[in-house]
Amino acid sequence: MSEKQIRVISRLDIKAPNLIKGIRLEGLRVMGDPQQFACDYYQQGVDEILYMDVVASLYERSSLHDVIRHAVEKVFIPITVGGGIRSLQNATEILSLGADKIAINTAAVKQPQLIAQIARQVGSQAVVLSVECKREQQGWQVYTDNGREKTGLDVLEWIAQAQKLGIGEVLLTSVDREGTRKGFDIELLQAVSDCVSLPIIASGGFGELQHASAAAAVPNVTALAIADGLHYRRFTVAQIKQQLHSDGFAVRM
Amino acid sequence: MIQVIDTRTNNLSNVLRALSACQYQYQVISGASELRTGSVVVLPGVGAFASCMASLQDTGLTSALKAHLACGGKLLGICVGMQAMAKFSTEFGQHSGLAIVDAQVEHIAATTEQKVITPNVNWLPLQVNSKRFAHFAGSYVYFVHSFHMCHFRQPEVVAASVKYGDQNLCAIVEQGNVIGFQFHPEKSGAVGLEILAHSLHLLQNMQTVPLSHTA
Repeated sequence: MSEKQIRVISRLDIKAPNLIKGIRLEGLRVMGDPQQFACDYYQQGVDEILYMDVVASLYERSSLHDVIRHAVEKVFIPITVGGGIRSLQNATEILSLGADKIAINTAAVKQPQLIAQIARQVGSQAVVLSVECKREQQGWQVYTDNGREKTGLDVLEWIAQAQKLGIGEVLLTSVDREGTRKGFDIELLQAVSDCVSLPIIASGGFGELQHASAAAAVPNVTALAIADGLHYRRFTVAQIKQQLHSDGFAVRM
Repeated sequence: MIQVIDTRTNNLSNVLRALSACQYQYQVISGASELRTGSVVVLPGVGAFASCMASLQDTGLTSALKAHLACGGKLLGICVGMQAMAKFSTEFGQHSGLAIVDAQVEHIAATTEQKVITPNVNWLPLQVNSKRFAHFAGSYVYFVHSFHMCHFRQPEVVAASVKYGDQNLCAIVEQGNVIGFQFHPEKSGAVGLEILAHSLHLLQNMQTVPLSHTA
């Protein structure tokens, strides 16, 4: 058995044309030009870039096309794009621009068969289910529209259903922890890990180096999505990977 | 001459950008009649095995590619483009491949007893068996796949592998005038571009000997 591999993903929330950052997905603050941040992270050795168009499903449009077009010219690592993907055509458009995976949340909740339809066409490996989770008294509820809308769906039941429909990965965002620097919601990650065979990307709450290893220790967590910690230059990609490495995980240096 | 087959999969543009970044000129082709004698043909692919094969079949490239190789042409396959070289795949039923490499394609979970996370979406370090890729031993490259090439009749064609759980997954196939990558060199950062350029260089400078055997 080899050491477990962990990817470090930089998550760039976009309100076109800017990179923004909020707390619990709210109170958005403009950080700057997403292209500069993406190139910087690529140079630093980040393993993947995740773009999320945070207003797309609200206004029913995707404004990320130009951002992707620029990124793929210079960034030769996997790119995942989420926000505003409402149809098979939206998905194939984004992939044909050079993105490797699409992340889908709101439209999948409204129309679960869309997951199967997209996966059949482009392959499961290109379909990431984005799940925005808020803690309830018991379990977690799925939210859409960037944490604004309740769905009434239980996170574990929803992910189990989506796994059958053909997703390739789960991006699990704890809305409660997002932007708070209080650490990932480990109980949430563990609960989802127990009921899937899929890789999980942990998102929301990274604030200290040891938070990375705590999430990485959950069996199906194979990647960490980090926004705040990188955007505010509180940590470098190398520091995060170094910590993971010294805690016994394998990382690409 | 580098000719890239348009199999209507979504990573074509990424492969083309990577070729440009490596300073290679290329031509995109979509039919058997466009194949040029002795050229290096690049076969990219993502998604399902069957749709990749159907695309080759529709354009007459299934038989034309074999004839191309028999006349000393070269082939570089990426991801499903490499898997297409096998005899068959069991992805969504059993589908025939080009049968250039005597191997088959199976689900990662089907070839291990252990609980395994699939798809394999990871950067993994290469364990290199071939002298021609020795320079890349330990290099991390990016994988995203649920099926892998296995049951090789001639295990020596596995030029590099990676460890995944308790399995060794084939990462690079090298057989005569054919090279295949299970990973995505076009998405593996600077080292990925180096491996791509190195492999094209190897193929271009190879003596155009006809393929000694087919599976």
